[in-house]
Amino acid sequence: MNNFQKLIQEREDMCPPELEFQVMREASTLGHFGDMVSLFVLNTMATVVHIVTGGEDPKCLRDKRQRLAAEMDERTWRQPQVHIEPLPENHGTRNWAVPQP
Amino acid sequence: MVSSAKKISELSDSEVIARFRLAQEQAYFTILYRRYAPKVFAKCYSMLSDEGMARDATQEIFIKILMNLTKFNEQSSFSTWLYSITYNFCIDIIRKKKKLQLLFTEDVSRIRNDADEDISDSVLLEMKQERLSTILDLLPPGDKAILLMKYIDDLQIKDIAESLNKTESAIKMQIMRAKIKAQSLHDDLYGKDSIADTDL
Repeated sequence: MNNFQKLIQEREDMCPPELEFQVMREASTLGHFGDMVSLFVLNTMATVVHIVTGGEDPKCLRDKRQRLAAEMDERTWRQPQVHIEPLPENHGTRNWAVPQP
Repeated sequence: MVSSAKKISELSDSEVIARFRLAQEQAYFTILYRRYAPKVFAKCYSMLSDEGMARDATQEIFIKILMNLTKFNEQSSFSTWLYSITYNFCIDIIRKKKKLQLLFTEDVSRIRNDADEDISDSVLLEMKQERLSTILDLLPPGDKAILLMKYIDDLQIKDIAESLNKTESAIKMQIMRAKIKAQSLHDDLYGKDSIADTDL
């Protein structure tokens, strides 16, 4: 090993061990931030763009909507919740005849 | 558990990167960090001549690496790519800190007339460590980067040229100029006595 390499080796040994913790903590924070962006921000921005510009739904929203629709049981919301009595036959008609004295 | 950890640590850089791309697990990034952090720190310290700045630079470089690891195209080895980012990052810091500082030695007027003659590598490799440290601090950042790439990282001229975005002939010329500059600084500071580390 020549003197130049020895000098650099000495400097390598000076690398503080606590630096690893700092780097990994920052990396972890960035990872969480990335997850948050991919979960929320993209869809939110796409929705804003969609509202402003109009047109077809963005693909991310279309896919999500299709997925939700497939999961939903149609009968649970399309059938009436309460029973309604049928209207009487003369409902909506009016007797215009003048009552006899 | 121990055996699996051992296996992971035995993986090559390319394998670690491939696994990181697949799993996006921080453990793989930690392996790369442990392999290269001391080397990156030493380069930053040599380039910036300040321990605190070297720490900050090392941290920022590794975060930069993390964010760009998926873009690494393996045209060169991971270490060459990492060192290239390290040197350019340090050069940018120095540029911002000291505006318009000379990046490479261009003052050929002080350089001897026999500039075409190749200076021996012993000018640097056999110099006393404390003198070498002082002279490195005085060299322009570009020269420092080139000398570290050539004598510490053992990079080819082609790789150095790619890293610093220069031609191969320019790099060859710059290495020679840097060596002449180092010898000139040594002579100015310590006289023309032997460069070799004979008294140790």
